[in-house]
Amino acid sequence: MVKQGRYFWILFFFLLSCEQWVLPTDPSPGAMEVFDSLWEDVNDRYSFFSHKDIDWDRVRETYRAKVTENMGQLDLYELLADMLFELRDGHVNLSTGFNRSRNWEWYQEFPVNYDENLIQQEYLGRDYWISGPLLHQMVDEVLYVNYRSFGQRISEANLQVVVERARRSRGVIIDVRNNGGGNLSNAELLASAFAEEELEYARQRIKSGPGREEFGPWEPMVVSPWDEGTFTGLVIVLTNRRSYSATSFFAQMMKTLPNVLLLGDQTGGGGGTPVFGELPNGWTYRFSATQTVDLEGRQLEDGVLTDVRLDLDPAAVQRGEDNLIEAAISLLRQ
Amino acid sequence: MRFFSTNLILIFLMAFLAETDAYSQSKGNLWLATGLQLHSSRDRGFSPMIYSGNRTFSLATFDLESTNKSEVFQFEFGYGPLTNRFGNSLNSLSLGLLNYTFYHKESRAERGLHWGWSNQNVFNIRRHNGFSNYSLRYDYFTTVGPALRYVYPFEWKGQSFKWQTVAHWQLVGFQIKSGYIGADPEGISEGDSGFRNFLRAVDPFFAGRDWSMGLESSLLWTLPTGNSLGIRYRPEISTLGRGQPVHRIGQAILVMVNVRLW
Repeated sequence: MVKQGRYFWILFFFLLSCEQWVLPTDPSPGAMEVFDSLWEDVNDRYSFFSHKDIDWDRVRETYRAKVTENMGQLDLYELLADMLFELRDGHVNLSTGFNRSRNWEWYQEFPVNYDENLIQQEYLGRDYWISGPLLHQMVDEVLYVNYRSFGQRISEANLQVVVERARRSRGVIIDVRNNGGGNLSNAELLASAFAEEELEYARQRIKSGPGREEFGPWEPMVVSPWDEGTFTGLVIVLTNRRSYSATSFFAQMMKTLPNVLLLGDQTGGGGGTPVFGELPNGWTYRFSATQTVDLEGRQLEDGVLTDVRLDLDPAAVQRGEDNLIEAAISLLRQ
Repeated sequence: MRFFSTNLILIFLMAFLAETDAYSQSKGNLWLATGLQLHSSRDRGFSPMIYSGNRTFSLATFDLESTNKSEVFQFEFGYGPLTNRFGNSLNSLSLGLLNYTFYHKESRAERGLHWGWSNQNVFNIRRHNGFSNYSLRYDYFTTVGPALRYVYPFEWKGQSFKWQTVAHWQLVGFQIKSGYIGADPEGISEGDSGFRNFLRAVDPFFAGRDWSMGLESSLLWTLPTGNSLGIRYRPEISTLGRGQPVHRIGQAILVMVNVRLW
C-alpha cells in the first residue's frame, strides 16, 4: 500500500517542476526586449492605425535600428517617446520615474481661444457660486457655468443647484474650454441634466484581436435624462481645441440634444479610450484601444465640430470681453 | 404561486430525507481550513510581468463517506494583493467549488488508493491598481477530470494519525474570461438576446491548451472524540490559453479542523 504513495510523490514533484513551464520568468529588461514589447503591444491593440494611415511596420524599421543593448535609460526613453509620438494621439503616454512622454499637438498648433483671468475678472467676479467643480454666475440673466476638469467629480447636490439656477435664467452657458477631460461618468451626469429624452449620441467599438481591423461590434452610447429633473431651455456649450477626451464626449452628447448649440472652436479629439500596459523594465504606458464615431460616422478622435465657429478676438479681450461668451449671451437673450 | 412554492419545499424536504436515509450508514465530516497561499499569476491582458504575493486562503469542506464511495464538496476563497518586481500591484480574489467523488467498492475508505473524478468551478477576479481604464479582469471555468486519493492511517506514540493526498487534473469543460481589452468577454454584447450573448461568450476548456491541476496533502491527528486537527499543503496550477492567456500558480499552507457530523 505504501508503494502506492509513490505515485503522489511523482505527482508532487511534477507539479513543482511545472512552475517554470506555466510561469516562465519575466522578460529581460534589455533595451531590445523593451522596444519589442512596446512596439508589439501597440501593434496589436492600438485602434487608429487605419484611420490615421500610420505605417507601424515602417516605424519599427526606423526606430529599431537605433536600439543598442548598451544604450542608457534616458536614451531608450527618448527613442520610445519619439516612436510613440508618431501615433499623433493625446491619449498616448510613456511614464517613467523621471518623465512622461506626450503628444500635445492636438491643441498646441491652434488658437488658445480662452483667457481664464478674463473670465475670472469679468464674468465670474468675486461672488460666483462654487458647487463642487462647477463655478457659476448669473450674467445678464444667463447662467454661466465653468467646468475645468471632468476629473473632478460632480455630485447630485452640485448639479441640483445648477439646474435650479438654470430654471430662473434665460439660458445656460457651459464653458468647457481648456477642460482636458477626465471621467466619462461626470460628462454623462452633467449632460443628463439637459436631456429631455434618452438619445443615442455616438457609437463605440473596442479592439478584439491583433488584426488592424479586428474590433468588436459598434455599440450605441446614450445620454439619458437625469432622474432628479432636467433643464430643457436653451444651452450653449463653449469649446476650444484644448477640450479633450471626456470633454469631446460631453460636447458630442450635448450636440445631439435639440436645445443645445456648440460655439467656439472644435474640440481636440481624444475619442479613443486608453488601455494601459507595462514594459519589462517597469515603465508603464497607455494608448487608445477603442474608436468612437458620431451619428454620421465621424471619428471623435478628430474632434467634435461646433455649430457656430468663433475664435477669441484679441480686440475684444483688450476691451475686457470674451467675445465667445458675449456671442452666447446674445444668442440666448434673443 | 404560493401553492407552487409550498409544494416545491415539500418535495425538496422529502428528497433530502430520502437522501439522508440512504446515507444513514455513512459518515459526514465538516472541514474548516485557513492559511496563506503564495500566489503568482500572469495575465497578458494586463502585462507580460508576473504578479506574486501572499493571499489569505480558506476552505470549507463537506465530506460524505458511504460504503462504496466518498463525496467531497469544497468551497474555496482566496484574496490578497499581488505585486510585480517593480512594485506595481493588483488585488486578486478567487472563489471556487471543487467536488470529488472517489470509489472504494473493492477496498476500505479509510486506507489505500481510490480513483474517482472531480469537478472544479473557479471564479477569479483582479483589479490593477495602476491602470485607470480597463483595470478589471476576470475569468471563470467549470471542468471535469480524473481524481486520485491516497489514504494512509498510522499510529505514532499511541496517537492516531492519517496521511491523505488528493490529486486532480481537469480535462474538459467551459470557460468565460475577460476580452482582449476590456472586462467583458468577447461576444457578450454582439446580439440582442441575453442567452445567445452568454453562449457566444462561453468557450470550451480542454487539456492541452488549458490546464488546471492540483494536489492536496494533509497530515491529520485524530483526537479521541473522533474530530481531527491537521495541516495541509496545496500546490495548484492553471492556465487559460484562449485570447489573452492567464497563468496561475498557488501554494497554500493551511491549518485544518475536522468536525465529525455523524
